[in-house]
Amino acid sequence: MKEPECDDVTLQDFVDGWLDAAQEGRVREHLAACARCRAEERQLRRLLARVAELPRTVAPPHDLWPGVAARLGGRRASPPAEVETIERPRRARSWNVRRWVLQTAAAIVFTALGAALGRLIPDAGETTAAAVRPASSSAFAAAETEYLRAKDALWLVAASRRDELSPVTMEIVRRNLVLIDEAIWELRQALAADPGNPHLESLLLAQHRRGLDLLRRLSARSA
Amino acid sequence: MRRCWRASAALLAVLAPLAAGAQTEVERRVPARAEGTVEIVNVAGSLVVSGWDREEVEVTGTLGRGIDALVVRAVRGEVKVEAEPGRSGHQGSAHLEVRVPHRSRVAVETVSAEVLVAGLEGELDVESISGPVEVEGDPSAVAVETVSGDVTVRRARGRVAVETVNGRITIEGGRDLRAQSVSGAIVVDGAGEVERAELGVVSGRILFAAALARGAEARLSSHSGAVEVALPGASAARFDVSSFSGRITNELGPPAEKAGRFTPEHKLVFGSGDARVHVETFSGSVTLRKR
Amino acid sequence: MGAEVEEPRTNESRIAPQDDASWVERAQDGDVTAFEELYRRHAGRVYALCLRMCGNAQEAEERTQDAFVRAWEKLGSFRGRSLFSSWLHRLTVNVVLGGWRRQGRRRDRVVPFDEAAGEPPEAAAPPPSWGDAVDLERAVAALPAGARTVFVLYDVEGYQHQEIAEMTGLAVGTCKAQLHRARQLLRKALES
Repeated sequence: MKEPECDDVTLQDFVDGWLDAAQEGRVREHLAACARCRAEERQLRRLLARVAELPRTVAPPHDLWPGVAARLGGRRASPPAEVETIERPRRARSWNVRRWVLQTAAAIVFTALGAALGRLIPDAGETTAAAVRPASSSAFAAAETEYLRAKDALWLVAASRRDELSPVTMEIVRRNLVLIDEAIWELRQALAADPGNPHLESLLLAQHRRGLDLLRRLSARSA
Repeated sequence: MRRCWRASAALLAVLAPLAAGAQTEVERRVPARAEGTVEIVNVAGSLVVSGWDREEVEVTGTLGRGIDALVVRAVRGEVKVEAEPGRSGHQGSAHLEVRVPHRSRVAVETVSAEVLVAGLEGELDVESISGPVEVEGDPSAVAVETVSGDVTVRRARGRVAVETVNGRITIEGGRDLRAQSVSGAIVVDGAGEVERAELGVVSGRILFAAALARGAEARLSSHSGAVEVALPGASAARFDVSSFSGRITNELGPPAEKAGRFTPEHKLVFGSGDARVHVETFSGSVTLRKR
Repeated sequence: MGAEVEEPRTNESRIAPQDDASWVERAQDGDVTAFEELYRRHAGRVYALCLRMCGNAQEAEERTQDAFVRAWEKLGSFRGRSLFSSWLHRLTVNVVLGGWRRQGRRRDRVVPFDEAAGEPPEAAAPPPSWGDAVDLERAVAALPAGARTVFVLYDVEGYQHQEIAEMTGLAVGTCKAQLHRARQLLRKALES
């Protein structure tokens, strides 16, 4: 039987801990005397305990990132126009044809990198400190900027292909790109503490190069 | 004109159209050149390539659901073998055994098929995504690229070049070794005399345990992965080891001294051999020990 | 010789527990890869929030994407005074509420704060792994939009009434009443 002094919103505030000491005292008194409100309180606490156990995260039923990535292009310095040509043939006729299209596109992106990189970046296998070529800091910064731009462009290419690439492969690649990025981050920190250190610059460019290489391979492939 | 005619006359196309869903046994044989090129495309399933003494390519095996046809073409002795997926969009798989003239140059393309190559003396080139690749021997040169497949080269005579993303790389033969991975391990162990080695990782580990030829040069680089070098002793090479923050443990020569926080921090140069061993890491530890 | 080299098959452990600050900083510089990392870290929480607020998976997916696109656009205004996650969740709530406002009177959820809110939207089909929570999730999805919104923000997400009032434009008293109604309806649904 609901008594006149039964007030569910106040009881809710009591359970939620919003009442001051005096108000709390009054509710306790009432609870001691009112079976209906005691049951109400018990059930409310039981519900809240269940709610507290709800998972905090729910994985989306499929990867929503490609849809997000497709809408980010505008704000960034836009990727080279060549990227467009890759997106058009959504379903190329065969594996080989698709591959060819992608390889060509990736090649275009790379050509667009220009000669500045060629001067600065050691060839594969010459990435150790012993093979560091002298590069001024501004030249280094320029090379790094170019790398980042190329990586973004290639990553957008790769992301746009995602529904055609195996999700497992994409995830492996993504995680490994994260590893490379972490390495780059650490090297940047070290460089900040020791600006112009050619060993660190060489290690940093080597990591950029590695990330780029991975993206290039990814863009040139379908799985 | 005449050349065209000859080319088309020599074109031998064998098509095996299949009923969808069926497992189909196949057996094809075409003429090939002793040192020609054999290109094999099998997206999924398995593939065994072995060399033999005949100037022929033989393909046997089974084609699974989703594979429309096995196409074997021989043009002037150059052979292309392809398990062609159907239009259904489902990925089909095939299990193929391909015998090739042992001095052929072989190129394999796959996504997830397991690849095993044995008894080949020509060059080998494998592109894969996730399938394991094993090379038993004895190609003159090996190049393998994969994302997550493990790569094992047991025997090879010359150049071995392997790139993975997180697949493990094991090399037990070859004289000129190049291996790169992001997070996969690179193990060079039990190889013959190595003349040149370039091994690089980000977070994967490197184990380099090999005999060095006179004047050999080995460059090992890692960001955070540990590097372990096992050689007969300090006389095996001139060592140049540096790490920015990784610990260097040297059982072959003098202990590493900390030089400074940066500029490389730990640097160690020692040894008397005429070979060169360069090791560089950012934070990965370096261990030099006796083999 | 023959020493085993331990290899990390997956790199999970290396990237999981790390704070967002460096990624945020790089994303603020326009690094898409860094922003994707932030997406990967937070998509599950954002999607869960959208799913529970919207009560259906399709809308939740759209709002999740909208939220990340908005986050990318607004990233420059994030000053690091709160956790990135708090900022992102708050922004997500605004995106969902804003979406409803824009949809106008077309749907019942626009009048979410009216006691007479129409019939509940179709319940989301939760993934089977939710186990015991399935009934509760269904019941939440079946709540009238107004009650559901306040319930999700208060009981699940942990916002205070005052904050919810600011976000939704409701009076604090109305929030409390909606919360009470939601809890009552949930109890009834779970008992039956």
